[in-house]
Amino acid sequence: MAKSNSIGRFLTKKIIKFITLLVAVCLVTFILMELSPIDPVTAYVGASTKVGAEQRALIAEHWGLNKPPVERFLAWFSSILQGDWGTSMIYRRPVLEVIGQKFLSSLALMGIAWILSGVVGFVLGIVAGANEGKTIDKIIHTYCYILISTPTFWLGILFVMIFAVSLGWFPVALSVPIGTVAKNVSLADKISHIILPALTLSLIGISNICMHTRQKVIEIFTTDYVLFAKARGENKKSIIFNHVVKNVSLPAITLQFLSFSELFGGAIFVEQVFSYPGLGRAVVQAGLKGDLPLLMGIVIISLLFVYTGNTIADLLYRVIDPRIREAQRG
Amino acid sequence: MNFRKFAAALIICAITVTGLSACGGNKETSSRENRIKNSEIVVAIGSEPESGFDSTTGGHGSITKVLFSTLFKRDKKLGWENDLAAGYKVSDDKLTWTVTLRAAKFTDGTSVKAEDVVYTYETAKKAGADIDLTMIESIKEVDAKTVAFKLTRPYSPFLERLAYLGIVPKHAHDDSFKDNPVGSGPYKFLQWDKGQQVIVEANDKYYGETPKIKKLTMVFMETDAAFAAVKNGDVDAAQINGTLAKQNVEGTQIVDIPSIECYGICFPMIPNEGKKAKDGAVMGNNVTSDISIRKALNTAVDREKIVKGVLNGYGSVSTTGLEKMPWLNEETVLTAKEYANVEAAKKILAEGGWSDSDKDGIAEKDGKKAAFDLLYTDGVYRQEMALEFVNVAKEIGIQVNLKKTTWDTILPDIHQQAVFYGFGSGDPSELYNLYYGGIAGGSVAWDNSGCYDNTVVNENIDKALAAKNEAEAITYWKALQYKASAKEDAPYCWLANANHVYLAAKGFSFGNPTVQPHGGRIFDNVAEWSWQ
Repeated sequence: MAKSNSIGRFLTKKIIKFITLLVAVCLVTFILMELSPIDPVTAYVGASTKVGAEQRALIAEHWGLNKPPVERFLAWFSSILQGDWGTSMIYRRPVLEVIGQKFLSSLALMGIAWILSGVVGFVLGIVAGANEGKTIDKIIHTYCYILISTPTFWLGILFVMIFAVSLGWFPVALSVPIGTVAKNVSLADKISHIILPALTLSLIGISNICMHTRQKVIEIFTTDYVLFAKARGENKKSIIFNHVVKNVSLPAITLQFLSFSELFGGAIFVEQVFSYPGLGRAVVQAGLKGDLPLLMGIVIISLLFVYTGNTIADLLYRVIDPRIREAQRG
Repeated sequence: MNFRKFAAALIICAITVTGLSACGGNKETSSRENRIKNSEIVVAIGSEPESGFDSTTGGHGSITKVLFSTLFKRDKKLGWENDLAAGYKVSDDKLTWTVTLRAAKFTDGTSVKAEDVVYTYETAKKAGADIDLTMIESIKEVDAKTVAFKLTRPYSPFLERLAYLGIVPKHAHDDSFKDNPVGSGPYKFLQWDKGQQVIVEANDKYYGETPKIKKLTMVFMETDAAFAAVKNGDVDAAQINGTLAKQNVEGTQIVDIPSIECYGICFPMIPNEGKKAKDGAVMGNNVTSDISIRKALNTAVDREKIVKGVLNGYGSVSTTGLEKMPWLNEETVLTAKEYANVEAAKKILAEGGWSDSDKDGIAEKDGKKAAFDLLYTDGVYRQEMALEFVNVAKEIGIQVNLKKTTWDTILPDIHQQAVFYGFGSGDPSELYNLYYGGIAGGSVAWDNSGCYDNTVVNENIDKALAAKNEAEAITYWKALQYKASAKEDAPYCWLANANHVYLAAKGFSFGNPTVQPHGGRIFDNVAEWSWQ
């Protein structure tokens, strides 16, 4: 009984925090957009000489841009509360519909990258940490240092040049085969299109997890209980499986869920390079063209996404390590 | 699972995945041959119309011509020809344009009727489209094949507006239309993968020339990705930057299409006396308002060098901004002797009272230095051309400070510094935007941003706009160029026309495309595209 109560209290607190954060983030985004010199109407019509002053005023009126900022924000915010996210200016369809479409393809990409980077990073981290100072450790952590300072888009372009153009193993871009009608697209086609972008995204994520895990493993190897295990005559393999993995998984899991925000940022670049349809490309468009409803929508969704990641990390802490639960109860 | 087993599983996974895609890879290499055999192509040209294919909201530029037909269209020499229209008449008071339609069918099998045209234009007028239809007072259906447009004022470039909107069927135009367009163009809509590609197939009911390509896929990619995709055979044609054209890509050819995409520099024409534009920006510049500065620069710049050096030869010299257009006044073109002449330019400056008395390399007059900023924005070739301009200016003793900006942040300075522009809409009424005195400092800041104002020019523009049609207006469009050329007031320094360069698979032909305006019109002759 006490347990479910404390979970309930924990979640309530989290939700209240989320709401205040949401309002603050929305407000800041809106103010930033207002301060930015981008004029949505100009961004929309481009350099067209066919559009005169009168028509510009009409477009602004059509989008409700002629009202004062405060009024626009309040109108937008109150309709969000009622579940109406408004209409995207550049896509000319409801914001939720646009986000729904884009988020699904981003989710697949981020999901694969997230799992891959987590698993590979964790394993590499343990291997490196357990063999501290040896060649294998040097190789792994040099590799991590290189990757951590590699810009995502550059890695993406490199992959395109090597695996798509020179070797021809993978398609250059898009998430479906070019020129193929939807009913003829097979799952294998879709998989072959997602591999390169997902690989790019996960490679970047690996180093973070790997380096942290490595450090933790090194720390654990100096603890008394490992020393004791060694004294008992346990071999390295058994020490790793019995003592290290369990102790190191907690920080790794936290890190893994905290990486949601990096994942999101990385996806923006990867989607640009691979012309992969997703939320990342949509947010760039929305920002550059001053599409306020869409940008705000994406901000809310990404906030929800990252916040959920952090909350899950917190919850898992409590599940995995009873001491934290105890501490909070007391 | 122990560690070794786990590692083995990982490796097996990796191998399977690579193997799977390797099969896909083999398929890809032969895909271009397959497409050639089936008369299909894939192009990466133009950007995605995110809002969908509803032509009443505009926004898809040249792609409109793939799915829809417009009433009129520009022919290869920038004259007019009928498209969906069978002809037009302008009333004597020049206010009513009556358009008759040809027999045509939409891809759903229904006939194109006058009510569809009325509906299309009325919807676009209301929808906040990216086309200005504010000069239309009313649109009426006269009979099933005739439409009358009543204007609020005489407007000779009106045909341009009638060549912009693709006609949509009234009965099928609902909320889902933008995702499932029905038009009367050369191609029929098949599928749109949002953010990625549009697939269309030849329309067998099309009234015009039957398209040679049976299936056309337009993919939306960044330039780098598109270039890579042509290289590995996924895509058959992509628009590229001239600097990439030097790379020799096996199995491809460079297609160089002449254009009227003209780059030039606009000078502030009035001295800075604190006069303000509508948006509060200060107008005028004390250096560029001096005619000898503008003339000297126009005389000094070596346009040949820009075409060869910056454009890699993919372009042509321009001294009027209007070369290749039927309304060009040929007498205003600078001959080869009249530009790239540094000595003559120095002489003009000296005669204008500019001299370098303090020997710092920059000329002075009445205590002010011959220096001003040149603002430029992002875009292909722009920085390189602007740099060449700066170098030439330095040679004759004028200091030009190059400043990068964006179209959003340029506004406070747009009327008081020189600005680098790309123009060339292939529409004579652009001359109104470039030179008309009345619009300077108005709500569209880049229209005549240099605040040029010459009564003779203004009068001719008024007459041209109020003419009965374009043919009649051309006399006036030509006449205004006397004063507004480099030979007289020199409000601009035109540099070069940049051709549109494509990387295409060997054997692919664009047919005989229209001269390309700013932004491109590559789909205008899409029915002529073919594999040779």
